[in-house]
Amino acid sequence: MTAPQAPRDGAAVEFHGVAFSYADAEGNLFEPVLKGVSLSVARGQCVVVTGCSGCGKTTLMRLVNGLVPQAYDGELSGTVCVLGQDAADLGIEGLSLRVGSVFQNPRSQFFNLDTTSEIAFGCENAGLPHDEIRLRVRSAAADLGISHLLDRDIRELSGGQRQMVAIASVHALGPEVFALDEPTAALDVASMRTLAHLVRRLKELGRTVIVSEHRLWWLRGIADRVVHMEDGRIAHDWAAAEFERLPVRELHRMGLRAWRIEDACAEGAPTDGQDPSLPCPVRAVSAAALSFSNLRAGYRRGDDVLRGAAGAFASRRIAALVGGNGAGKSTLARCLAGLHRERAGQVALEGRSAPCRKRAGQVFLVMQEPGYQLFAHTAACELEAAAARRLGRGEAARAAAGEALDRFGLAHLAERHPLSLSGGERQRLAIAAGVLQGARVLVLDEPTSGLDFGNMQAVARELSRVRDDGTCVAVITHDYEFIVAACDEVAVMAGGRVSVQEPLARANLPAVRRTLGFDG
Amino acid sequence: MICILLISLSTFASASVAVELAAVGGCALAGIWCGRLSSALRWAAVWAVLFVLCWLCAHSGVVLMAVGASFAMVRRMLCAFMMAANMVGTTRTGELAYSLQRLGLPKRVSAALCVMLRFAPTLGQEFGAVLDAMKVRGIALSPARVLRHPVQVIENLLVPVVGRVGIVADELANAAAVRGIDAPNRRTSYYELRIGVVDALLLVYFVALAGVSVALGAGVLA
Repeated sequence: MTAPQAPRDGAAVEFHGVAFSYADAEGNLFEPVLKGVSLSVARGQCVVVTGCSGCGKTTLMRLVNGLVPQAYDGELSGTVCVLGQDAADLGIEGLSLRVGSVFQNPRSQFFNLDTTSEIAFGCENAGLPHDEIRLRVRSAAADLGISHLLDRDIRELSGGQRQMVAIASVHALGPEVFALDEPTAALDVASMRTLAHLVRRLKELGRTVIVSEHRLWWLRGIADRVVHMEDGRIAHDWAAAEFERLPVRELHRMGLRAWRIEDACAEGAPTDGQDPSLPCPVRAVSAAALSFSNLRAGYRRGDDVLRGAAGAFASRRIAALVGGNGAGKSTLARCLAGLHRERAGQVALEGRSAPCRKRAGQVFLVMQEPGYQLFAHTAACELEAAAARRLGRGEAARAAAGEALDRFGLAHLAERHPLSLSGGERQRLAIAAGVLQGARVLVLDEPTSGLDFGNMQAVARELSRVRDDGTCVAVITHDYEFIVAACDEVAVMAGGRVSVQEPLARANLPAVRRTLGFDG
Repeated sequence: MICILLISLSTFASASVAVELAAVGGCALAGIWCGRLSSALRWAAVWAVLFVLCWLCAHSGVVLMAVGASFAMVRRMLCAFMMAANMVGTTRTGELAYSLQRLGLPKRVSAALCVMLRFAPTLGQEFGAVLDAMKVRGIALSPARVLRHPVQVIENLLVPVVGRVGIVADELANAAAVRGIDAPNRRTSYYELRIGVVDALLLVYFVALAGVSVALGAGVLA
C-alpha cells in the first residue's frame, strides 16, 4: 500500500536507495541503521515518519539536515536530494538555509539565554546585515504568533514555548523544508496542540514539513502522509485518509501509538481499567501507604505552590497524577519524596507520621531524567548498591540484584554503563533500583515522555508487577495512552490542591481526557 | 574580558592591599553601572569578610597563618571572579561571539567561550538535581560521608553531571550546526555593539591599576 508518488521535479526532499551505518571512533562500522530507503516528499506536503525506537527515523531526519554524514561518522550509500540539489554538495551550512531543524529536547537547543537573540542566531551566523536581521526576527515571530515571547529569558518559558522559539529561530532563516525530530517528546497536551497550530501555519505558508514522531494524535488533520519505518526500511507509506481507516489494534500490533486519542486502550486488559485479579479494590483510608493533608509548600520566598493539598495513595494501586502546568504536581512529588521541605501539613507513611528527613529513601522518586540517579559504572553494580541498602553488602544483595535484572528484562545489559542505555532501559533500571531499595512508595515523574509504544507498554508492565508485589505507585503523567494502559485511579491536581481522586473506569475516561487538555 | 585579565595581573603583581581595594571598587562600580546593584554589594561584602578573616588569622598564631594564606589567595582571585560574574550575568551570547570575532579571535575559541557562558547558569541546576537524586537513593551528602568516602562522593556527583553535560553539549552542537554556525562568512549581530565612553573609561582605569601594581611589585614605586 503506497501513496501515489509525487512528481519528481516538484520534490522537496528525495532519498534514493539510501543506506547508512554509524562508525565508532576507530572507524569500525556498526550494524546498518538504514538499509535502502527510497522516499520522495513533494513540496508543501506534511509527512509523518513513525516507527519503533531504533527503526532509523532519527537517522533519516539527520540526512535531511546534513548532520549525517558530516557530524556523525559512518558509511553512506545512495543519494539525498534537497530541493533538487545533492545534500552532500550543500553540506550542513548550505542545508541550514534550506532546511530548518528542531530537536526533541527544549532544554538543550538554545545557544543563547534570551529569546530574541536565539531567534536572531541563525541570521547572525549567515552574516545578514543588521537591519535585515531585525526585520526577520520580528516577522518570524509575527508569522508564528509568538511576538509576546520576544525579549524573555528562555529559562522562564515552558517547554512548549521553548519549542515555539526554536521553530521561530529556524523560520527566520527562511527555509523551505522543516525537519522536526520528535518535537513533542517533553511537552504536555496543551503545548502539543499549540505546536500543531504552528505546524498548520507553516503548511499555510507553503512550507514542506517532515515530522518524526511517536505520539501521532496531534498530527491528525495536518499530515498528508504517514510513513512507517521498520528496521531501517520503509515498511508502509499511507495517505492520511488510508491511515485514518486502520483499526487501532492494527496500529498497536505494528508498535505504533493511536491516531485517534479516544481509541487508546490497554493491550489485552479489560478497558474499564480494573484488573479482576486484584484483591477487593475498596479500601479504608487507614490502609493507605501514603497519606498527606494540609500540605503547603513553595519555593524560596515565593507564594505557596501547594495550598493545603490532601490525599491518600493506597498500596497495590497505581495512581495517575494529572494536572496542568503549574498545578503543583512536581512540587507535590518532591515534597512526598522528602526532597522539599513543606511549610505546613502532615505526611504519613503507613499510618505513621513521617517528617521530611525520614521520607527520603522510603518514598522513591524516579526522575524524568533517570540519568541523574544512576551512579554506578555498570547496571549490575547499580542494583547491587540499591539492594545493599536494605540487605547489607554480600551475597544476599547480589542475588537480589541478579533476580531483579531478570525480572525487569535488563539481564542482557548487566555489564553496560547506566548512562549508555536507552531512555526506556534507564527508566526500568531506576525503577528496579527503587524497588530493591525497599521503598514502599514509588513516585514517577513523566516516565514515558519520548518512549515509543512498545517501551511505554514495558514500563506499564513493570509498574503492574511492582504494584502486585505490594508497592504503592503514583505517576505524574500527561500520556493518556499510558494512563489507560497502566493506572487504576486518577488524581487531578489544580491550583495546588488535589481536586479529584477516583478509580479509572470506562465511564470517566472522557473526563480524564478533558482534564489532560484534549477536547474529550 | 580584557579587564578580567588586567585585574588578575593587578592583584597578583603586587601584595599591596590598596591596589586590591581599588580593583574591587572598580568592579563594584562596573557592576552597579550594569544594573546589578545587589550582586555588586554581595561580592564586595564577601571580599570584606575575607579581608577581616585574613587579618584575624595573620594576628593569631602560626597554625592559622596557613589558613590565612589560603584565604588571602581566594581573596585576590575574588576580584577577577566578580568581574566574570558580572560578565556572565549581563552579556548575551551573541554579543560575546560578535565581539570576539571583531577582536580577531579564531571561531573555535569564541564558540568555546560562548558555550561556557551559556552553560554557567545551568550547571547549578544540574548539580542540584544530582544532589536530590542522591538523597532519594539514601546516599545524601553530609560531612561525615564526605570524610569517609571522599572519592565515592566526588564520583557520585561528577559522573551524572558530566554524562548529562556531554549529552546536552552534543545536542547543543547539533542545534548550532544546523543553524549555520560553521558557515565560513563573518558573523553579524542583532545588537549594535560599540565601545562607549564608560567602557573606555573602565578600560583605562584598569590598565592604570595594572600599571601601578606592576610598578609596585617591581619595586619601582615605593
